[in-house]
Amino acid sequence: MLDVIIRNGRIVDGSGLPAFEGDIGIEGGSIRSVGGRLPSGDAHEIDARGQVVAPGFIDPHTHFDAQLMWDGQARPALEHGITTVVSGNCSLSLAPLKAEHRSKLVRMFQQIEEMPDAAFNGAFEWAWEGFADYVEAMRGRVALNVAPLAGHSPLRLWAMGEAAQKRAANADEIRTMQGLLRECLEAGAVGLSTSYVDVDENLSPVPSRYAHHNEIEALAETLGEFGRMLQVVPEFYNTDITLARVDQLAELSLAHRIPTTFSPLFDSAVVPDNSSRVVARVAEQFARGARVWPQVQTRPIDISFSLDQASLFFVALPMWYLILRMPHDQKLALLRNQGTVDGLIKAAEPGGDTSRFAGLLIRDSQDEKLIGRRLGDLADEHGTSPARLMIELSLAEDLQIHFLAASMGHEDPSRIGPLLADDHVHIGASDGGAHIQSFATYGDTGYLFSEFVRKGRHLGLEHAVRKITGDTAQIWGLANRGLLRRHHAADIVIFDPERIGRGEERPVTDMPEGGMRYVRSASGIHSVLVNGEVAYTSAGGYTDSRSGVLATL
Amino acid sequence: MSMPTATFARHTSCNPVTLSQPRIVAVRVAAGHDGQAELVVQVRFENGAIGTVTLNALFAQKLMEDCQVDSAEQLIGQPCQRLFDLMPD
Repeated sequence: MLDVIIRNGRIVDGSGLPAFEGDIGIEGGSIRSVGGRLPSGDAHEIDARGQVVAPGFIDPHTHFDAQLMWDGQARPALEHGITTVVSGNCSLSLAPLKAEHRSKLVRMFQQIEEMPDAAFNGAFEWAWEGFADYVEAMRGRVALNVAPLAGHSPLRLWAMGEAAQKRAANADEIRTMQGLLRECLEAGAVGLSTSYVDVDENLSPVPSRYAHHNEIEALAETLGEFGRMLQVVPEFYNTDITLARVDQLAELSLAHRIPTTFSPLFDSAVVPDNSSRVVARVAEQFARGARVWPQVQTRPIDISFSLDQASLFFVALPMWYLILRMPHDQKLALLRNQGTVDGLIKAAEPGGDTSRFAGLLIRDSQDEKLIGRRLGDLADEHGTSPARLMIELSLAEDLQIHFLAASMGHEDPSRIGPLLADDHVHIGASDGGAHIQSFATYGDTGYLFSEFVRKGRHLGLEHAVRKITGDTAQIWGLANRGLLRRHHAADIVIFDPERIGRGEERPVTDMPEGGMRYVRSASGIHSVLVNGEVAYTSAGGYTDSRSGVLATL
Repeated sequence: MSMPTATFARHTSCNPVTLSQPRIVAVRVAAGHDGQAELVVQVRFENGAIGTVTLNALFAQKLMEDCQVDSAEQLIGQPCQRLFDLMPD
């Protein structure tokens, strides 16, 4: 007997094939039928007339590791249609990890992913060390599916202790890491993550960066026993080194028959040939039989800053940059000095040209009425200049008011659209759950539809759905997910194709101990089902369902 | 939005640098993946090849200090060795 029937939907099944009308029947968490008309019965019915019914979206690059322990719904990711997340990216995972290394790992999370201390300490009971116990701790707690990566840095800490951040591993230590990784994979890890760029809170390279290639080779060999993923953060600040990493990943992929992925890959007018060169190299390696998936995010990148820090936003203005690097009190004194301010204004607005700061938005302020306002408009209302107003507003809030320069990177839809549509590009790199006090990492899937399907028409509806469902499941080896097929898991999102999108970025204080973060609400999402249970509806909000499972089962 | 800081500052022919060693030939501010401003430094190698390196605030400041300059534009013409010394092994 069916538990749920979704009626009259426009079914986009995640394969890329054309949409079709019909019903979907669900029983015991799995899809029992797709298409056709189902008879009425005792099943819970959802009317999806006028809506798209698609597989739940899969986010392959998140840092929800800690949040899932105190917020099993990974809010607001679930309401955006995300039904499966890959956690443990960038060499960082909460297991396997000895208790004595927890504080060290937490500090790395805080440094790299900008996650507050309260997200880790006191927010949940940290009772596990091994990966199997970590997976067990999630059981019954999560409302979406989790495909956790094992982090290379905690592996090294376990095997080498403090030496993990001092030297290459010896043969015994490498064998220990291989054994640990094998245990992780047997317990359901979706692969291994490593990083070639990240630093800890002391600006020292994270443990994974001390690995010589023979260590990576050995760990890839272990991944090969399971055919699982190697995720890498390459030296994305330099195209040529990234190309070398693509070649290296290709060799690992071919030698050990594993998929590999690297993130992020950005497009930018500043380095206009970066993404094209990298994707061209990736295509060559795919032609050789390797699997090297570059992850590209959908959203543009903004620059946010306050006068409390010396942002490079001011690096072309030597006087500003010099003052902003000074200690807080000294900086305040200078910003209150009329002569100094006159000099700053003259430098920033030469000849009365106010264009440098006029377009900035006020991002975060004690005065809520200011949030979202354009600095140039406010300056006009106050009869002053944007630069002078920036200083005045900053002084009024002890330099804690934040400004935003919108779309300063990865910003050109005419370039990003074709990149996202490329068959060799993996849509991802949302960083969900990270950088939460700097910007919102939610809603990238909605933005894919609003910006690149409806507006830019770079992808058709079916193509876009496939890129974040069927393709993702196949790339990551998530069996029975990502497609609306009989016997597949009933991870389903129902949405209005004309409305799906992301809301405005806004600050909320829903973190443990009342901490602040930025979020975006979803628009156009009707319902989200995870393993056949309704987890979210636009009408009723989040449900009590905790039907998420380990996605690698 | 007009953002003058986001235009490449380029070396001009009035003060040519010799290419006996790699030199910085352009700098530009861009957005990093973490929402912070970054400095994209363009270098030209002895054989004429052009490459770019993106620096975060910490490394950009260190480079400027090492080169003893006050603004990013003054990095133009500087030898690249100082930049390469900052790069991780």
